[in-house]
Amino acid sequence: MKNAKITFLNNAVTLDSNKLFNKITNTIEIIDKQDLVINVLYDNCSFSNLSMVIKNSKVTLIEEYQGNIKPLNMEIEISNDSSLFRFGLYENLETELKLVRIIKNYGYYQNVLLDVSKNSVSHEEETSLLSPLSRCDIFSAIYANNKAVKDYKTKFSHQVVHTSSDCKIFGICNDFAKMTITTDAYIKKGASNTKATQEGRIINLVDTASGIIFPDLHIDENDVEAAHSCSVGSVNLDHLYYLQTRGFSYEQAKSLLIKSYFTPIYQYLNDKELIDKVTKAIEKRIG
Amino acid sequence: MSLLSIKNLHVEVEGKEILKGIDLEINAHEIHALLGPNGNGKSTLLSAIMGQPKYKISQGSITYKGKDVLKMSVDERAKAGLFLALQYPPEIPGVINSEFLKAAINTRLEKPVSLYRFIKELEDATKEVDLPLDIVHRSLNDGFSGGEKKRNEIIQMKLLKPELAMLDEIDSGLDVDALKAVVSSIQDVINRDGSALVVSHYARFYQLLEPSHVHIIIDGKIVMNGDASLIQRIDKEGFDWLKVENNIDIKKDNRPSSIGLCGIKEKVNEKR
Ligand SMILES: Nc1ncnc2c1ncn2[C@@H]1O[C@H](COP(=O)(O)OP(=O)(O)OP(=O)(O)O)[C@@H](O)[C@H]1O
Ligand SMILES: [Mg+2]
Repeated sequence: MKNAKITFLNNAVTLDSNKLFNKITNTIEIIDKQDLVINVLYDNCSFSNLSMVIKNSKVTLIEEYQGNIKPLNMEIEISNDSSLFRFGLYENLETELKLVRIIKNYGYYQNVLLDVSKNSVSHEEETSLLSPLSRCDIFSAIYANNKAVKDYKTKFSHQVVHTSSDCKIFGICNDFAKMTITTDAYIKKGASNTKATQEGRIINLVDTASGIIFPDLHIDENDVEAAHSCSVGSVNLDHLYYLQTRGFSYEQAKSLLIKSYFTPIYQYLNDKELIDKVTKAIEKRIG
Repeated sequence: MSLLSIKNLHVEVEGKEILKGIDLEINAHEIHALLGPNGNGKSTLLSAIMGQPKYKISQGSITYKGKDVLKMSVDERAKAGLFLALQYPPEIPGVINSEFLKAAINTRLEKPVSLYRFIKELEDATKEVDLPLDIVHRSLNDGFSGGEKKRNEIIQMKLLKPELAMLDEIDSGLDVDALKAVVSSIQDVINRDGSALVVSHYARFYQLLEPSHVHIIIDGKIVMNGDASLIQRIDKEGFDWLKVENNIDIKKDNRPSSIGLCGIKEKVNEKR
């Protein structure tokens, strides 16, 4: 595994360990790199547009944000047999992020994100699957509390045959937070043998929290496999009671349960350092 | 002074009165057995003592070592020494058993338990109830078999060391060796000057446990108190003689009375 680091500070690149960033086109270029791990830090970033192209490469991209982040569009093109595993850690993020992904020629994109930010986040991710065998898997775990407003829109566009997308989103809403999760999968006419699945779940921990999900499939082709399921629920009172009978206070029991809702994320992580990072971020926010 | 004292307890659930005036005194070193046909309020009584919020106390009092239990939250009751092994322990995916156990122990301590000591106690407890150690790395009760859930309740009891152990049908689904482990953990509680309140339908379990006091609860009232000989009689004759000899009205449940079956049989049935 080779490691690369890129830091965007204000309106400049202050660190680019492997010289991957093209300043003229504002593009991170990754060509013919196998097993490359890139840590990108957006620190008080004021870029509004950035992009990345990945060709003939297998890449892990870890994106973290700190300080004041201006609304940011980030476009990634994955082509020529490439695969990208992107992990997004939103610890203190407060901004609008727009992620555009274009997947061509056997490309594979997997996005795992953990949002434990106490601030409001507006997040839009649009993935276009443009060649046969382009694939995309998304897993998001989102926590909102206080008066945070979190708006997550995820869109998939299946343009050709034999493409697949899978989207799993889990939201936990506390206090007076508002969370809206929207997932849309479009399957174009002619995009047969396509697979699109969506699963969304929100738990409103208290009555004052309001989380809602809008899953939607827009299918213009007969020969496809598509399914969605979603649920909005509240905390399981029997679980709370059981934990309390063992000595946990109401608040302690609740945070144990909140943490338990995050555990599915670990099945997507196998790097020890990343696992620790996730655990720390969750501990720090939920206790 | 008695450890637990219940006076004229009335309990409602969803507007329906289930317990209709229970009186019960439990002293240190005593093992109390609670028997009664299905659906007559045994679990309700144990849950009301523990503080399950679904059960509303409409009248009466519960005191534990002189303190008003009804003023205590569920976790305060637990930390004061009350423990309830649930008839149906819930499955909680994502809460890792060992982490849960360690944190539960720590709710009672000023300084967190040392890792060495915790692991030692955990190993001993799992060995005693004959569960593989890897069960502690799984999610709490998640996908556990009926018997494994019950054994896991006993592990919790062993580690949390209560003063008043309440066990609700802990024996259902357990084999004879596990029953012996349960009895010995109850004995541990007694040896620490504690006491136990046990609900079971099985004479076999009571033979091993040798309760000092036996109560029969019918339609939310304790209709008879006695010693272990009561169990023998119920085992042989069921509850009907209470009506004939004592003119006690028995509300018939449509479920079959399960008294007399032994734990092993039930386990075999469960596996089918
Ligand atoms: N949450 C609830 N909502 C409605 N009714 C309830 C609830 N909990 C208990 N009951 C009712 O209260 C009565 C007593 O129930 P309880 O569980 O105490 O019986 P039990 O004596 O423990 O029976 P078993 O031997 O079958 O375990 C039953 O009729 C039951 O249906
Ligand atoms: Mg019961």
